[in-house]
Amino acid sequence: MDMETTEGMKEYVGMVSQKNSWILNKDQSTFNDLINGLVDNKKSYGYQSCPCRLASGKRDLDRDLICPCDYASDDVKEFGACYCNLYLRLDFYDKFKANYVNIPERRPIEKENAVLDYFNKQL
Amino acid sequence: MFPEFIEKLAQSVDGENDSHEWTIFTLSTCGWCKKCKQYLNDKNIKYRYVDIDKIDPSEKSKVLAYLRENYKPERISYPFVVCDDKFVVGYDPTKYEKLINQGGN
Repeated sequence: MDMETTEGMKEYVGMVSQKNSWILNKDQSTFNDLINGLVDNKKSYGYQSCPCRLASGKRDLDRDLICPCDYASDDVKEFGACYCNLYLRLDFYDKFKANYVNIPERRPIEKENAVLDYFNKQL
Repeated sequence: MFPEFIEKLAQSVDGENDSHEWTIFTLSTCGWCKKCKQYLNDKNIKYRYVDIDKIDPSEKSKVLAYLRENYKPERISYPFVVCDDKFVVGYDPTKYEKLINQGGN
């Protein structure tokens, strides 16, 4: 599976959703945007960092953001969708009338600050 | 409106509606940032954007520090939308509509 291609990334997220008993976003425009973002990040950083969050480019600092991120499971369980709305709970389309839900950031602020510190050191 | 280093980074998108100054801080990979840009395009709004993931790390640091200090958001998420002196974090067309109609959130 070549995750630097859209087909490979679709196969990957399909496997992830199946393994976790989630479903994928059915809106093709949203889905394709997210897949393209993941592919771009895979090419840029070497790992499929969450496309909706700013990655540092340093794997150790971004480890929790590698898709599926560390927060996806809790977010899908609690809010019906992961932060990006790529992965959805099985009942998402029955339960939610909207096409998307805004998910509050669950990532600890300390991790975000560590990324800022890393950027600061590049000054 | 913004410090010079941000002014230099911002890309302009033309639109007929220029009654407010819109600047959005986005990620090139983020689906919701794309939707935000599309929303502004559909409304024919003139705006500027900075794709933060595409700029140098040193510039990232300065831009993020500026957003934190100037707007004091709980968190910085994307898109980070600035309209005049107001801001909205995330993709939220209802809040954007309020900014358009009332000039505030």
